[in-house]
Amino acid sequence: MRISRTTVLLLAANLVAFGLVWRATSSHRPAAETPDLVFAAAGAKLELTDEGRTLLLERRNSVWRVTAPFDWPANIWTVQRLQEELRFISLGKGFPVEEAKANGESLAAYGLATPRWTLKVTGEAGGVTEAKVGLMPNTRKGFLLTEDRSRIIPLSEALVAALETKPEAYRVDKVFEISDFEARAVSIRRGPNDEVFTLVSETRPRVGVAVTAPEWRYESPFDTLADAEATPKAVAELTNLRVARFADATAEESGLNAPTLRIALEGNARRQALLVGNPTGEKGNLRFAKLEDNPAVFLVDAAALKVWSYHFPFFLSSRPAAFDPPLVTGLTLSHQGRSLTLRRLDAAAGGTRWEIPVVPGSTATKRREADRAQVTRFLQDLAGLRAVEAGGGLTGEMTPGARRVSALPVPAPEPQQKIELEFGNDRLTLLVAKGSPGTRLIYAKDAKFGAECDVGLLGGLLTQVEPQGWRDRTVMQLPQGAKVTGLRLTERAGGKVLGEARLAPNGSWTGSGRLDAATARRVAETMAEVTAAEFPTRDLGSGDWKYELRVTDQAAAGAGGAAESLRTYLLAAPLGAHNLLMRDDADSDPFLLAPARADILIPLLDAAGK
Amino acid sequence: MKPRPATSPVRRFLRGLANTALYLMLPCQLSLLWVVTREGPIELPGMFARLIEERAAGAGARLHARRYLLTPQRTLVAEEVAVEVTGLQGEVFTAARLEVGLRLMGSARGLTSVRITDGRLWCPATASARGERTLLLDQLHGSLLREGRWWQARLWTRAGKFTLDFAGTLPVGMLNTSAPTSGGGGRPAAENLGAGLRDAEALLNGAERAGGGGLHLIGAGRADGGVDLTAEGLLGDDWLDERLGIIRFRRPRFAAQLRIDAQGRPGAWQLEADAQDVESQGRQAREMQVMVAGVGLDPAAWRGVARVTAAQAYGFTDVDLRVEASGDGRVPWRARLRTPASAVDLTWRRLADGTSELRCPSATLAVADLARLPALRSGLTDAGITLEGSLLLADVDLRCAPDTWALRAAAGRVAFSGLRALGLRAESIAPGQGAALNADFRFDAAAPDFPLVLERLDLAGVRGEAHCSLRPEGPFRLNLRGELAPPCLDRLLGDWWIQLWGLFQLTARPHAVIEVEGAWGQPLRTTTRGAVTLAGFRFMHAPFRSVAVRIDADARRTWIGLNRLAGGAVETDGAVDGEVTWDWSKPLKVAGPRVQVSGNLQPWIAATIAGPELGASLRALELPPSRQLTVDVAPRADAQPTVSAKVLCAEPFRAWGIDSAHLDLAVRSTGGQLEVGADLDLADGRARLDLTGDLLHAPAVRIGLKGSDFAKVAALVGKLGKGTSPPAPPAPRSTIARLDLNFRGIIDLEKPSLLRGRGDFLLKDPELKKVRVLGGLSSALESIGVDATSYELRTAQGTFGSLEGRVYFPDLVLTGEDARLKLAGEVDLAGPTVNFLGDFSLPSQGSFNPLQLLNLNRALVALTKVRVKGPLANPTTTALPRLKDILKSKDDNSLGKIPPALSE
Repeated sequence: MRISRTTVLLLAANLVAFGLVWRATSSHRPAAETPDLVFAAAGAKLELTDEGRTLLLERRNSVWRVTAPFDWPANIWTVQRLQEELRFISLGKGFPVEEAKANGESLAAYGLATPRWTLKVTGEAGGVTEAKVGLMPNTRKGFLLTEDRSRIIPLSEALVAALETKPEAYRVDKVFEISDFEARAVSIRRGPNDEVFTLVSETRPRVGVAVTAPEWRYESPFDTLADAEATPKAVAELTNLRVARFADATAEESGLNAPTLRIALEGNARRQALLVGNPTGEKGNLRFAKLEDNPAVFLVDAAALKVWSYHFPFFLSSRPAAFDPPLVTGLTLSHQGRSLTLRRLDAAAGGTRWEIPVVPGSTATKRREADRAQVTRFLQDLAGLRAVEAGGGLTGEMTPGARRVSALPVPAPEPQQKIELEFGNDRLTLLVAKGSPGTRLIYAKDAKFGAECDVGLLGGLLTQVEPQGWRDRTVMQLPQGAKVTGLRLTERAGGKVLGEARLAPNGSWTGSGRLDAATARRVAETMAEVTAAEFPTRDLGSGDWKYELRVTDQAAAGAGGAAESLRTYLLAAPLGAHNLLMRDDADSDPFLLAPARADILIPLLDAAGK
Repeated sequence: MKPRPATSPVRRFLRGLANTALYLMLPCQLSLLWVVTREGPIELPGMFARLIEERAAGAGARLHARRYLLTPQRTLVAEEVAVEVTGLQGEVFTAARLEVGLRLMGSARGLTSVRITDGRLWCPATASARGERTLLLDQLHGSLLREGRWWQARLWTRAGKFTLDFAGTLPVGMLNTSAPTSGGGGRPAAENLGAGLRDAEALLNGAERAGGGGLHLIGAGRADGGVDLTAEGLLGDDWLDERLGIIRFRRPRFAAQLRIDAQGRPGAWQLEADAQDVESQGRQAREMQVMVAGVGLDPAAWRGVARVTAAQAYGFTDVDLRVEASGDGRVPWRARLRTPASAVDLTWRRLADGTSELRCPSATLAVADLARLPALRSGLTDAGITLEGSLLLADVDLRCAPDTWALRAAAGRVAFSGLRALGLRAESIAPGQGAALNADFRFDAAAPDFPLVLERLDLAGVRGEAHCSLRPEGPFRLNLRGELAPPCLDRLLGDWWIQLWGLFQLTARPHAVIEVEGAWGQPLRTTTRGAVTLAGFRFMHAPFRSVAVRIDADARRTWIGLNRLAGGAVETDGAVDGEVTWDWSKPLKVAGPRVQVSGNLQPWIAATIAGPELGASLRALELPPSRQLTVDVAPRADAQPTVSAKVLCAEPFRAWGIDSAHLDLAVRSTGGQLEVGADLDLADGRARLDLTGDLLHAPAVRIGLKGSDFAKVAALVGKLGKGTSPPAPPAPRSTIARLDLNFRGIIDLEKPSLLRGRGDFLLKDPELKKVRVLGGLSSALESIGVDATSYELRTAQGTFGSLEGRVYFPDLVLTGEDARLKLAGEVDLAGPTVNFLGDFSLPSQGSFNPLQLLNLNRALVALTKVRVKGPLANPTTTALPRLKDILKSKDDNSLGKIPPALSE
């Protein structure tokens, strides 16, 4: 096909036109984002000169500071307010100076002949934008003169109010720059004797505790654990300490030439120290204070520093037995010269079992299975012991949060009970002495401090050194598949049979005497799991064993057939409608049957004494 | 001329088409060249404006602009633009300038830039909740510039008191997905937009209550096409709430992060807000913080933490609260509450059936804090419960109804250091122990009788269970076991319990197994059963070693079974079994106690119950273990109970140092009058003793002796007189003198020798007395077989009276076969000594006996005075007449005469 000249000419003309368009558009640059704004959106430095007084705000490491007329962290809200208002100053809202002059108005009409403020904003890239702001003499309305003195822009009232803000308002009232989460140590130097107490937050292994997180401890004048709740709270409050107001005071007036309290706070690679001087205010509720490296004197709320003015017990750990209960492998309780040992058995099929072994010194004369729920609860309650509130007892006045933790006298009080906790090869010994009414003084062996705790949840277990008191209350439980197949109730004196029942192969009971079929079924269910309410260790006044209950059990049917076995229980006359003393003939410990089960057996027996 | 080759019509058509296209394209290119080479924008003709507005109208919007410009940058500019939406009255959006860049060709065709200058967003009156047009956003400036997959965005505006600012990148897909949809099955676009504007207006109205502030957002693009949005807000102080008034706070802060994926879908997000010095309606907090995080819009994926520090509210001060929440129903919410004295850790989650589950692993509740809750305070007061100190809770599990939060079930452990309920408190149960009360509690609101069950109850060492109804007058059941101080149950069990234990002086706490069943506020419905074992106690002053007490008491009757009530200090002091009953159907004075016991308790112990002095007086009655004691005490209206006691002892025993046996003693005391009747072996004979009246104040006594050995009786009398000193041994004898005696009078049991009364006796004694008329000569004659001058006396008989330790014998007659001696005299029991004087008389002679000639002084016999004097056991007898006796006989005329006092 032959292309015509016309077509060629048209094509060439189009290509030339396209090339010219391409060339023209390729040299285009996008218009500025904010072509009509006076100030950059985010400045790094703001200098505001108000009739000769200069306020200088600088952003250092993303934190704004007032660097003139004083050096102090800036109140971000106040800085932000000024920045926001500057951002909305638009050239489009202004008018040319020439136009104003053409209308017969001079700069003086807008207060710009001798402007009140000079505003210099330095951008992050180093670019500086400077503008003058004046107030119209009649209306007090603000006007801005651009750096090139070409345009006048009317300002909002909010911006004028922001410019009029006093330098003091730019100061943040937070004393410490260190945040609570980064605080690592607090050192207190106090009083005429220059007592020094240092608290540090560190991770250190402790017996019976799987410590993974840092804990606050006293580093000096002694090495002991600090309270896990009170100390972080106090440190957090300290890091959030606020300035009540800044003040001008001489060193003598403020007492800061010889401060009564010096609190040094250490954070991540930085340290700040607060010096606290004389009390002031109408009721002495304020204290003069200053930071060690900053000359600015200010007042702080005396109450906020009160906890740091107390003697050391305030921050001592209020948990005298802070251990992890799952780590305990054994314990020995001692009371009035008698002791009882319990030992953990790690069952393969899950769950932890505890036994009462026969060991030298123990009251146990035979091995018994311990009540694991009771042991677990005992350990949990023991580990959870916390000193009671001090009230006015510790400092002589009501101190919120203060606990009854105090230095032990020498020699230490005679303990009434001793609890030795074993953690594998490690051992923690806790001693229990008489405390103030309603409390016990708990302290670790060789400890310098003790805590007065309410041991109510531990109940009588602290003094329970009888094996029966810890014994598993499940006296007998038929294994899965086994069942009771026979019952025989006799009167021991004379051997009179009061009732007898037998389970037929078809699952129905046949009985005689007091053990009719329905009763026998209930009794059989009861005797399938014999649970004790308790194992008494003294005479309950129930008299001699009066009845005998023989129970025939049939094991679960297996390859060897269903074997039968017998067990015999001795029963005393009922002690009431719900209390029945029993004893397994093969066991030396009598027990009170659990009331729910006793309610089934007691109607079969004669009431005692009548 | 060469003919032109023929061309096909197709070729001609294609050539014409190409030329036409090139013809048309060339002016367009030339126009475009003209545009792009201009300095300023070109105003588009009205036709073009109509075209745009028609397109907009097709999309449901009415677009107005003063003019449309085409810039050399090939962007379309609309000046003084206003947008209305069909269905909404008035302008929705206005701007001084709206500039839009479009790419018409290429793979990235579409919107390339948007620039807004001085925009305003309005909520039209038809969409406004207030019914008036509202300015939502003012001074909106911004630009969006597409760069590959990103929008470079810069946006700032005012919304009421707030300034908003955004800078950074946004994924292209985000704007695509957020483009409004219209038509189809969804809501109309106008309706959607109206709803959105209404929400924005509500948000703005809410924000207007705040003190203003600024919100800054930064978008940071990620390699996967998504963006991380970071927002930080600095807010003004205080908030004005419609209901709560001014909520004051300082230094509020807000921060948020949001991850948006390439398709513009929200991913992980986090929101943090905090404020300080919060105060509203008198409630304050030094700091409040909220942190919420989640993923997308999944309601199950969010989690949050709220913290209130140093709060003051409802009377509580310095309260710290921390709540961790989650939208995942499987993850429980956690709360941690601290006051200076209380500490509570809670978890909450909603179960599948909507029930709320609250768990509290441990809590310490200061009663001072609980008392600040008015409902709880009044509830405790109504229930008569007083709390002091602290309440410890552990392993608490609460179940609440889905909507009402009514408590359905609860379980856990509780310990009170200062509970006082129904008079029960640790200090009253175990005084001085400083023990606490603790229990496992279980509450089931659906349980018919006993919704509240306390198990493993440990009340200061007393263990047990309690089943309680929470209804007024509802039932309760208390089962207690352990050592308890009886007064602790005084209020619960009432008068009989107080009376019962008022009788005991305990040296050790009794051990009780007590079951109490009753109804709240219904003491007459209370029944009590159980057993109490006591050791080392005094019952009505009498010492006891131990007892097992069985109790069965109800409103009509109280039965106390005494099992092995072992008295004294040693096993040989014996024990009794029996019962004590109160019959409350009778008047209170005669209701009880009725005591019926029997056993081998030493009588003195039982007598001590009647009175310590009486008991002391009977201590000398020492019975062997085979003794039998039966006591029956019946109440009387005059407060002095009727006491009947019987003592049987077959075996030998000693009473007041006297050996005896076969004792049959009956005691009856009625209205202060005592009757004692005793039959016993005494001095080889049988004795009968009857006492009536007040034993301690000279009771009337009747003594009867039958066939008793006189020597032993004499020794007994001597013992009575001399107290504990051993009597002189009686002279050896070959025969036994038998004494029959009857006496009636008054006796002081403490000084039995001071008998007062009269009686008679008959003594038969073969060796009673031999009277030798010739004295020594008669003895010499007897030695050679001549006993004519000796006379034997074998019986003694007479009456006597006893007064103040002296026994008077006015008519003692000693009789023998041949003689008769009449004596009168006295026995001084203090000695004891005798002093008798009498006349001897011989019987008349029946026949002559020559030997009697020897008896020369027979004639003088009538003048002979026989004197028996000296120790009772061995007196000396003189029978020769002596002048002085003859002369002095007149002086002894009063000897043996019973004092007139005894004759009355």
